[in-house]
Amino acid sequence: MRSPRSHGLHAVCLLLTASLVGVLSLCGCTSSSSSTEITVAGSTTVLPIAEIAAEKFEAQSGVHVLVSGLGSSAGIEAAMNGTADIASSSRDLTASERDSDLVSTVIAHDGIAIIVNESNPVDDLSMDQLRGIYSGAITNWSEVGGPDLAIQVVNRDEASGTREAFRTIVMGDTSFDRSAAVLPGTGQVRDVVSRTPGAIGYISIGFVESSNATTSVKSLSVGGVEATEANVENGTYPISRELYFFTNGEPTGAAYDYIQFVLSDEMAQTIRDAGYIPVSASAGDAS
Amino acid sequence: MSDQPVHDLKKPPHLEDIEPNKGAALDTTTHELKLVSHSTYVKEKTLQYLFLACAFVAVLAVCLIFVFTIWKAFPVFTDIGLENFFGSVWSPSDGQYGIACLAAGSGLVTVGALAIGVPLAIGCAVFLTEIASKRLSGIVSTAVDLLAGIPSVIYGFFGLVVLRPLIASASGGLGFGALTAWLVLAIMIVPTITTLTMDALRSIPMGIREAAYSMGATKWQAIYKIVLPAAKTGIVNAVVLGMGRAIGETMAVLMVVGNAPVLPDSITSPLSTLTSQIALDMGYSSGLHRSALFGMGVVLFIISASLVGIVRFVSRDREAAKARKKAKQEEKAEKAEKAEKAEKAEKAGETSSVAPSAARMEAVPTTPDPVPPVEALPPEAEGGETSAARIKRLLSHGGSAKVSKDTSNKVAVTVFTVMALATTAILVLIIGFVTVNGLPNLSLDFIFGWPQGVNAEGGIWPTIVSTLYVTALAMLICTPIAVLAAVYLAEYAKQGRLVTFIRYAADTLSSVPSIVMGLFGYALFVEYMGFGLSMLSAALALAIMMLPIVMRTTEEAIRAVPRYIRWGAYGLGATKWQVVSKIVLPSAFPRIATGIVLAIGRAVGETAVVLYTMGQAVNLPVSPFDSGRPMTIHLYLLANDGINMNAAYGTALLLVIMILAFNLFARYISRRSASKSGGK
Repeated sequence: MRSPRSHGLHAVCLLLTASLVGVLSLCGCTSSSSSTEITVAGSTTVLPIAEIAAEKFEAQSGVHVLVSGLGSSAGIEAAMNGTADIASSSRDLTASERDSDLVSTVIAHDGIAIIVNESNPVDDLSMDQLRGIYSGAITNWSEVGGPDLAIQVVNRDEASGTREAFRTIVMGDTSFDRSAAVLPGTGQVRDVVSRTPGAIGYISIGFVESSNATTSVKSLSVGGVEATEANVENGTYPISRELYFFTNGEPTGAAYDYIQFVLSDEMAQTIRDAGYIPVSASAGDAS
Repeated sequence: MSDQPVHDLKKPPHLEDIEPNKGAALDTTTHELKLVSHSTYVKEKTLQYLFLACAFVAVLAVCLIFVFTIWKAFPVFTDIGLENFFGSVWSPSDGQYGIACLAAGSGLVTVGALAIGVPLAIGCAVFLTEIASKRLSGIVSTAVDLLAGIPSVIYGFFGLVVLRPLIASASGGLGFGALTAWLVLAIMIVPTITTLTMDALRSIPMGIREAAYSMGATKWQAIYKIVLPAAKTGIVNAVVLGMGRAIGETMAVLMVVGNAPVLPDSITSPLSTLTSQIALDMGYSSGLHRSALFGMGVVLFIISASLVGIVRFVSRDREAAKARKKAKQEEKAEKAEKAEKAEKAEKAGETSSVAPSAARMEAVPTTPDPVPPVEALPPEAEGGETSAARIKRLLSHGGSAKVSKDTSNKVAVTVFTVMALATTAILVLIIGFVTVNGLPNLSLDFIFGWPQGVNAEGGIWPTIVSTLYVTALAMLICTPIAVLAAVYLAEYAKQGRLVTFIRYAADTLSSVPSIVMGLFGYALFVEYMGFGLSMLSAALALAIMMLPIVMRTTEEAIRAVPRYIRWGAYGLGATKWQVVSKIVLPSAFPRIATGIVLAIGRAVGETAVVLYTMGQAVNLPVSPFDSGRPMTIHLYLLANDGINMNAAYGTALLLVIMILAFNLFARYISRRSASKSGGK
């Protein structure tokens, strides 16, 4: 979840530099060695994974992978009209998109943990309570079975894929309380919550236990289901989603190799570093 | 073929025939050029116009910024209407683009920062000019200069990592909010206001202070009743410019306000400002949302331009008053002279009505040298009062004090000393914080390695290269234009409307908030001219930002070159360009170099301008069309993610080291040249 805000521009820049590099032929070092090139476009959430996979894959196979983050919808459209070989997406296909020939591959699971300060005695919140807290209707922990302490709501910025997922899954049509603090990074949310008794925030499950951080936070169960990787994988934890690759028809050639590479054990650690849960060997391809 | 030589032979005399006529026609204006050959004349004129064109780059840039931001903002003005645009609900996802709460946030943050920063800065300036020993003053003013050089992203980082947790535990909140922003911004505007206030205080002649002391005033009385009132206009200007800096500050504010676009409940609850919201949303916005961000840019531009207008208006007022007073003084001196004569003539008889007694009484005691002290007094001091009388009146005004004047003096001096030492302590604290946390992370692998993995473990080499690349490119673009423009302003231009206009443009340009410059760079270079997110786009935007800084320092450097050197050169028959290129520029070089090195330091630390003009991809730039990620943005992203803080500390330390190196190098250059010229 690194700097998602940057990726829209980043995409433009990649495209521009790529074309310019071609014109000026100033840097023919990598792309000229192989004629094959595949394009991955779409979700900014998937971008860090796709980029690192592209780097490693290129070193291994010599196939140049052009990755850009335009947003899931734009990526899916690009895959449908053939502009991109692979669309990366943080959401499933919509009904209309399902009519196309797109084939989906789940590349990772993402569970969003609700985190609070370790001193907070509250252990569980229902989806309704969460919605109440994030819409500003519930403002004190005593309303949800905790101590008499004001709730300090920490939200993410609008460019964040985590916020988008939280909004769709938890909030529905209710809008966020606009007076909540908006922080632009996962680590910041975690750090702030770990130091503030009344705070609540949400981050990808992979970041709840962080090797880089010196402080710790407590993750709540939602509707009685604990936020664990196992519960995300078996689908019982409610605030979770899948990350997808879509291809127009069954993936072939370099695109197939690249997808396999992303699913390989080599990438599992990278996916974990990015805060997501890799698809275990048993899951494999899924539609 | 055979015709041509004849033709060519005919041509020169033909031209020569015309040229003298032309010269005669322009007789008065080109008088000094009559003695030179035609080609030299053409060359000189061409160069002059070239310099004029360079000087006009500043004007052009201001116009372009205004036109492009308005053009990009136009949809929001027409589609949602001005009323909604200035409404109170900012919620882009619901199509609500009211900026009132954001503007209120900007105002709140600025006012608080001024309330904390201004007393500190003025105290610091008074200490440096009036109280400190030379050695102590040297140390503190170095600290102030270095504080001014520290990039805003470092202040933001400091605020985020050090101040925010402190305020969070003190208030029980999250620690994001106006209070944190006040502290961070106050630290940031202190150097600006201190430096400008010092200039104002130094321009007050020593005589006026000595007069006060000789009448028994303590240091505190002299400062409070004489020096500060006399420097009032200069101080007001300093505060207004500091205010501009506070309103326009982006990165530091963005990192500590909490970004909630509402009116905050308290000074410790999150809020958002115009600048921080632009920086936060720019990356992913589109359509009307983006247009609204440009609309906020227009608002910021208008605010900063009007602040510059106010400063100019106040200064011009003062200058006009000065001129008026001088005229009055001369008149008065004449009158007094007349009166004296009249008195002598009618020694025995009764005083005639010709001599106004008040004027005589006051004019007589100060006759030896009345001009310098009075000249520096503000307009309020006019009305026939001289400095001595004024000092006497002001000192007697207090009546008998409850506290002895020595005690109040001691207290005041202590307060000023504490303020100055606090400023120095803040510098030490920030540098210490960055060093202690950053040093363990510095290694050759960190400096020369590549970032790896999703959380940027590994090194930061590509970001260092990107920073140096874009800075070098920006200076390559900026320096020639800025220097030639300064040459025009200092050597060629007739002081008048045109020069005032160009200076006003340059001042406006230097006050444009960096995020607005970033927006403009994005609109013009990235999109309109199609350079994409690249080194070139970022360098052009940076160059425009550096232009007024280098222009001003160069102009000052050129003006500092003594006139007699020029006269000597002209006397030997040198043309204007020869004088400028062979005499003036070489002797002004050390000071110009100092200015350029300082500007480089500024460019290295710039964040908001490059944020949306260079891109953020980690890349080792080769061609100017490559994108990259400079160190400042790397630090910003790392601090925001808050996951790999070790790399953030390391990057911050390297950044501070680079900038301090540039600043100390600049000081070294100016010292060396000073001692050189002093030695001769």
